[in-house]
Amino acid sequence: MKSRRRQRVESSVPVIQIWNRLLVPLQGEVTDAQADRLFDDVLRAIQRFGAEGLVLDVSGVWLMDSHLCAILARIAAAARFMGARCLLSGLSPEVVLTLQAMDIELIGIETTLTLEAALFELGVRLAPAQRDDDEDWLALAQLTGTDETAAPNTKDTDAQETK
Amino acid sequence: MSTPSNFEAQVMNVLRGHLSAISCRSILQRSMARALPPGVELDASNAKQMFMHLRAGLTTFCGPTLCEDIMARLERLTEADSEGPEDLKIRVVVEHQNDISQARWEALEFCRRAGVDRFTTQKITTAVSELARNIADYSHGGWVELERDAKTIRIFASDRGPGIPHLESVLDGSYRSRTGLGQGLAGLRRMMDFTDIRTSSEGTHVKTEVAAWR
Repeated sequence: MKSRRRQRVESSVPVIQIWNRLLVPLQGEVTDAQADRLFDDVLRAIQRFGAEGLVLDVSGVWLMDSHLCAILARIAAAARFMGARCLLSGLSPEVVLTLQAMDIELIGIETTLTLEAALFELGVRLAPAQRDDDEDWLALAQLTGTDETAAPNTKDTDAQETK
Repeated sequence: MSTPSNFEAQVMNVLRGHLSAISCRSILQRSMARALPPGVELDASNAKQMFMHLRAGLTTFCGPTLCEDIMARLERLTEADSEGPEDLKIRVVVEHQNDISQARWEALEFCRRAGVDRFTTQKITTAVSELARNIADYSHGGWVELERDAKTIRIFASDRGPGIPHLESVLDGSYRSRTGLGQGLAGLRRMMDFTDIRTSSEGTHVKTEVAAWR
C-alpha cells in the first residue's frame, strides 16, 4: 500500500511559452515534489526559448506555505540570473493575510494583482481594435434618420484628431 | 453546541464559496424570513425547514446541478453540528512526502465541516502543511490531529524523533534549512494564537490553536 502511494505519478506544473515569455499557472495545491520539479523545468524553458520574462500565476492556488514561497523566490532569483524578469500574479487575500501573519516575505519577487497586469509589465500590449468611428456614427444616423445624431460625429472625430 | 448565529455564519460561508456576497445575503435572509418566526435565530434544529426555501432560491440563482451540490454540503453542516463539537476530530498519519498532500486535503475538508471562515481555513491548512512537512522530512514518522471545540480549532502534531536539535534558532528565525527557508515553524508560531512545542530525542510534540469564529 505504502509503496504504491510512493510510486504515484504526479502531474507537473505546465510551463507555457507565450509571446517570448513564459507563463506558469499554478493550480490547487502544489506538492513539494512538483515545486522542486518546476524549478528545473522553468530554468530549462528559459534557456530553450530564450524567454525574456516569466509570470508565475498563483490565482488558482488554495494553499501557499513557507516551502512553496521559498521555491518561488528561488525561481525568481534564478530567472533573474538568466536575464529573465519574473513576476508573481494573482495572490488571493487569504493567502496574503496568511503569509503576512507568518511574516513570510517574498523577497525579490515583483507582484501584480492580475495576470493581465503581469503581462503588461512584461511589455505585452493589446493592439487597439480596428474600428472606424465615422462608420459607426454613419450607421447610427441612418438608423435614427436624424441630422442631430450626425452632429457629434464631426465634433468627436475632431477631438480625436487633435489628440 | 455552537451558538445560533454561528450556524448562520457557517451556512453563509458555504454559500459564499459559490455566490457573490450580496446574492448569498439576499437568498439567505429571504429563506429565513419565510421559514422562521420573527426573532428566532437559525440553528441546526430548525435549519431543515429553512433549507427547503433556500433550495428554491438557489436553483434560480445557480441551476439545479450546483444547487444540489451546495445543498449536500449544507446538509453535512447540520450533521457536523448535531454531532457536537467534541466529535469533530481527525487524525492523519504522516510517514513520507505524499502524506503532506493528504494532510492538507483532510485539513481543508475538516475546516469545511467545522464551518470556519476562509481566512481561518487558510491559516489551518497552512499550519497543517508546515507541521506535516516537518514530520515527513525530518522525523521517523508521526501524525497530525485536528479537533474543534466551541471557540477554537486545535492542531496536534507528534512524531517519533529524533527531535529538533536547535529549536531556539529555528523559532527565532535565524535557522536556515536546506530547503532555503526554514521558516515553517517560526511562521506557524507567529500566525497561530497559541503554540506549544516540546522536543526531545524521543520525538517532537506540537500543540497549536487558533480562534475559529470571531
